[in-house]
Amino acid sequence: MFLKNITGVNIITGSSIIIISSDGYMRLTFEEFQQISLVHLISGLDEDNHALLQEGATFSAVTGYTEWVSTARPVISIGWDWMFQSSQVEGVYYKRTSKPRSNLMLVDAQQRDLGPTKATGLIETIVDEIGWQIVVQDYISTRYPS
Amino acid sequence: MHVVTGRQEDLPDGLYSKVASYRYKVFVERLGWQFQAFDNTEQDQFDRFDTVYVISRDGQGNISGCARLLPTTQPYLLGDVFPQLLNGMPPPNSPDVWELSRFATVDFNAKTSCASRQFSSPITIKLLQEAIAIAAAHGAKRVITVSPVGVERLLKRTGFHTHREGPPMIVDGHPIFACWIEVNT
Repeated sequence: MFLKNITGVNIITGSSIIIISSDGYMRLTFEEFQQISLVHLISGLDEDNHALLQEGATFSAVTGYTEWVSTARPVISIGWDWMFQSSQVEGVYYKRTSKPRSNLMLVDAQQRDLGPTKATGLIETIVDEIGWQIVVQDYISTRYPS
Repeated sequence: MHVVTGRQEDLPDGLYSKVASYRYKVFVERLGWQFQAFDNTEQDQFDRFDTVYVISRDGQGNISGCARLLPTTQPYLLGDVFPQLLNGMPPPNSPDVWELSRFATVDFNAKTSCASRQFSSPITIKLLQEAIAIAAAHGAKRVITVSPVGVERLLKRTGFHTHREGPPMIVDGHPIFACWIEVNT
């Protein structure tokens, strides 16, 4: 897919221009995306888990979601699923269990789409660098006090 | 599972009122959404003569799921109530774009069902596929939906090409967002 008609909002963030295309995607190169800070928006337990936990169930693994956003507008939005596990061997840990879902399409230097698969793979590398686990853990423990 | 679709006047006698009752049970009673409700039914200003309903029923005729389709050339939920979910973009207004809302599949008659499993059953996937196909039959090339974030996971799992428009917002304690679904015709 090549550059879409641009009917959206343009803003300048540092040296990067962030654009929403008419199809709803925000298009950036990977290098531009690497310059953008992501902050935590919300995390939660999956509805099924939450309902069952309220009924007194206990799990060795709990699943949920987390949402992160850019601090500039228009907002880049990225969310993914996670699993919280407690094991005698590995202790307690959070693990990403889905690919990131976003409003982002990464493009090459000629502004050509990399495509959903490649873009998602690159977004994954950024997600896995931001140390989200401790943020989510703190948030979940506050939101769902035991 | 049997799917019934159509505008209010096209539906079998009494089915629309059963849908309104079903939506009340799902969204108000079970999920705690603070929708306007009257006499244990849930409906709003977007339940109009031109609204298209997609309804799944079990072998006994009980409703097991529902969805609502609206053309974006007329008032619709995202454009009128939640434009802030559009990340600064104007609401779509095109015969090529339809809105999917009030999507739920909770089978109250299934003994093993947890009523909060709104997005995880085979009925869910089937109803979603049917709803998108019906939108396509009405001319949609793209569908936009205002939904809880869990729907995005389902959409990905079902194989639809989707992406969100912007970040979710918290409404009544639930994160909701706007999501694009590409329709393959």
